[in-house]
Amino acid sequence: MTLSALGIFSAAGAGVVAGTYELIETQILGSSQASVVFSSLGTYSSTYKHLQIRVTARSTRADLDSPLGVQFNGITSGYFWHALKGTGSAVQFEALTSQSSMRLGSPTAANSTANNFGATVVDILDAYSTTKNKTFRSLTGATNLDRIQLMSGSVASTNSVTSITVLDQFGSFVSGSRFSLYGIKG
Amino acid sequence: MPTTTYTALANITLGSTAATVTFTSIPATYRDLVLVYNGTVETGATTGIRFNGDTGSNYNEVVMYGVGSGSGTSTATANLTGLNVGYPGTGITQIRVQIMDYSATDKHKTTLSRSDNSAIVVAALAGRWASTSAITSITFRNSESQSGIYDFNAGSTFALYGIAS
Repeated sequence: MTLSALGIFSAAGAGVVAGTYELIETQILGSSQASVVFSSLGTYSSTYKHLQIRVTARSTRADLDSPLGVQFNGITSGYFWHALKGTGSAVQFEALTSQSSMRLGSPTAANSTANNFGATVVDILDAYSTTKNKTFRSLTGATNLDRIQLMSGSVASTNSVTSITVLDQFGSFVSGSRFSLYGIKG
Repeated sequence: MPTTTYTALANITLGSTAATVTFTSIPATYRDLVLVYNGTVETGATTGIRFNGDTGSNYNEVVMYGVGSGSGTSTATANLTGLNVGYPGTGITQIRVQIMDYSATDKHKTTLSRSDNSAIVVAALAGRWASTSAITSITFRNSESQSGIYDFNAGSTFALYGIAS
C-alpha cells in the first residue's frame, strides 16, 4: 500500500493532541560550541506544562562519543542520573550522584564516521511546577559507538524552569549540531 | 513566537493484509519525522524501514530489549534490506520511530525507536541510514532480518508526523 504524505490527515495515535505541541526555539551551530542555552523560559509558565528538547549532535572530542549534560536554571551541582544501555554486546546500567550536570545523551564524536550525528530526545515533565523536584528523561542513541540508552536525571529543585543548558561534557558540539526546544500544553 | 507543529502528514489504516506500507512524496519542510505503528502481524516478526527505496548496505543499528526471561542487546551493520525498528506480534504492538534531521543533506539519518508489545518484548533501538540524501519516502516491511515476508494484518495503522524547527 502506498499513500502520499500529502493525503489523509489525522493526529490519532501519536500521543500528542493536535495544537498542543509548539516549537519554541531552534539553535543550529555555525561553529563549534561547548554549550547551548535556552533562556527566558519563564515567559511560557502559563502556556506549557512540559518541555521537550530534540538534539542531533556530534562532538569535537577525539573519541567515538562524548557525554551530553543538561543543567537546570544554571544550577551546577547536585544532579543525579541513571542509565540503562545496550551496547550491542551487553546490557549495562550506570548511575552517578552529586554531579555538575545530569547526563542524558551520548552524541557521536570525532572518531565516528563522517556525517554521523547522535540523536537525543529529552522530556522535561512538569517543568513549571513549584512543588516537584525536576526530573528529566531521555531516549538517546547512535551507531559507531553503538549505544541505545534510556536515561533519567534529576535535581533537588522545585523552582519553575527559567533556563536549560545543554553541554558537551568533554568537548564541544561541532558545527551543524542542532538543538530544538518544544513546549507541550497541559 | 512559538509555532504549532507535530503536524499529521498521513495516516493509513489497512483494510486488508499488506506486506509493505509506503509513505511517498514526503515534503522537506519539517526538521524531524515521527512514525507511529499500532497493529498486529500474521506471525511474530521484525519490522524494518527503508528510506528512498534504498536496498543497499547502508543501514546500521543497535538494539536493547527485554523479554520475560531476560534482556539482550545486539548490533547490525550493513543490513542489506533495511533498518529494524521493532518487533510486532500477533498481539497489538506499538512502534514509534523518531527520524532526526530527515531532510538535512549534511548528516546521515539517525533514528530512535521504541517497540512495545506487552506479551512479547519491549525494545529500544537506534539506527543510522548512511546517506546524506533527504528522505522522501519510507517503506515499512516485516521480517527484515528473517526469511519470508509476514503481512501486517487488517486494522493496523501507520501514521506519519512532521516536526518543524
